[in-house]
Amino acid sequence: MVRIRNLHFGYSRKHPLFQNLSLTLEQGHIYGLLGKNGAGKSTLLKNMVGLAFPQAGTCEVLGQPAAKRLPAVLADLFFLPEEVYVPGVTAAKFVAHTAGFYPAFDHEALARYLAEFEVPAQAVLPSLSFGQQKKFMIAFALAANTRLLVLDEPTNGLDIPSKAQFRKIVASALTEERCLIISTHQVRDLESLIDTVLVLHGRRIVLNADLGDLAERLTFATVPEADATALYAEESVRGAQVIRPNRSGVPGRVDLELLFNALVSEAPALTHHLSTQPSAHEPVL
Amino acid sequence: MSQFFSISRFGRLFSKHTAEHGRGYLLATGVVLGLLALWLATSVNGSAVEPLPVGNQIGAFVTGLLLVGLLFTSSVFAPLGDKRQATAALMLPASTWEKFLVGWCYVLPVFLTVYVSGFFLVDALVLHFAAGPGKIAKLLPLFSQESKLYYILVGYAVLSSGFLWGSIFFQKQHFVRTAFAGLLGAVALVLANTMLAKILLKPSLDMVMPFSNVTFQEGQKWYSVSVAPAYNGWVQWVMLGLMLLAWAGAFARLKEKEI
Repeated sequence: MVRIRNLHFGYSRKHPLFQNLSLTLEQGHIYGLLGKNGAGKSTLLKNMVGLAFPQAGTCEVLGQPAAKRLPAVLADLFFLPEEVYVPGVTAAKFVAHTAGFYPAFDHEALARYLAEFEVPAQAVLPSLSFGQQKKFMIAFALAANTRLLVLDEPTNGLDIPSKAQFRKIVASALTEERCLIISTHQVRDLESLIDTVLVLHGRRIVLNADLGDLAERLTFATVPEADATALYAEESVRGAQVIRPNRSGVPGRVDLELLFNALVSEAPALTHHLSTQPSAHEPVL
Repeated sequence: MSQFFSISRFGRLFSKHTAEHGRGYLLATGVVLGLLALWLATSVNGSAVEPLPVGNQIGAFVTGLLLVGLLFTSSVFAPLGDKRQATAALMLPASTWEKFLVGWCYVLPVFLTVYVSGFFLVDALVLHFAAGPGKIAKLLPLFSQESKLYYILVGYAVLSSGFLWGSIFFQKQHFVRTAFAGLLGAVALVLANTMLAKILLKPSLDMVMPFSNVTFQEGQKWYSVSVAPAYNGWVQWVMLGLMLLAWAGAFARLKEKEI
């Protein structure tokens, strides 16, 4: 679905954002792209969809170079940026003039999503609040039924009930043929939604792993005091939050926030543990 | 389906553009026609034999054409300077050529059709009310073979191509920046032309305008050197070349546009 090889990119030659970044994304998954502010999450997504061009390396989407922005590829790809733009027309008029560009567009699904999000279909789009506009565009993006759906910080601007509705709708929209990529810095918003986590840090992807695999290999706990078995520990008001090797083999819950903190602080024990027991799924550290 | 051009995709894109901008375009058309009517009406001299001379009509036509047309042309790809709008436009499943063509159609054929027909409508109305018994009421002879005023439209197309390029090359203040770039280009051309003429003819030459003859004094005699009339047509070809180059530049810029 997405194949990136040895990607070099930066807005300035002196300060590259990515160096030798490689990544493969397959259909049937919901990927969560995590990274610190300024790590380049949005830029990576822009490279994927052809809104930014690699300085070196290749970036292919649906088998074609993303930078070509071929209509056939764009008809099977929907990119929803963090800040959405809506033209000065009603929602119904926008759908009437835009849905035709997406051959698999599902009008019934759109009506369902809009009802779920409580967005009026006859409203003039710019008159809606930012959150409502975003919900409308999320509903449209999902209803476009494209095989590749890329969402950049989709939960920014959504209220708490809308975030839950978003997770429910996105989970229901995943099929074996689709691939969803969601970037966020609000890890908690995606915890129950994604099946594969990508962590972008230090100009490369430092983790691309199935959450099920991670749950089998790591345990996350809060203990009074960290001991020598901890791969990573950080103090909290409730004690020490630790990541340990999962010796029992019984999968538990993956604390994405703690895992993310461990990866960006480059915890050597965790890095060693994950790199010596490679996931069957894909790359790793 | 072709990845370069498809008539159905183009039609869908044109229709989307019209649906999203049509209301604004209609309002702007109304305002422009109102201003033209005001201009022409205030130019009427009721006591003259010819209340609204053709010269006045040409003045209103050309001023309106350049001001409104170039402002409109500057706006057609201007939304691409805004990241949100650019993302929406570039990610729409249509080819770069189709996206360019929709903009081009609006700034040239559609605009000229609306402007010229609107001007004639307003002009005819003003003439109708201004003319009386024994008065001469002559409508602007834009398409007359005798006056060849239609060359105004050709000149406009050349200028418009530059502003179309500017509408995508610059991120903001497209009209002002394109006009300023054009002014700088014109000054550079005049200076280069003068320097070349001085090298070729005479170091003491004054300013030599491009595409014109050179006049200088040698002893007591004045000389005027110009290209033979048979070769005069080359200026038109240069203009045509520049127009095509500006369109190609705008298309390339759209194709290479990054966010």
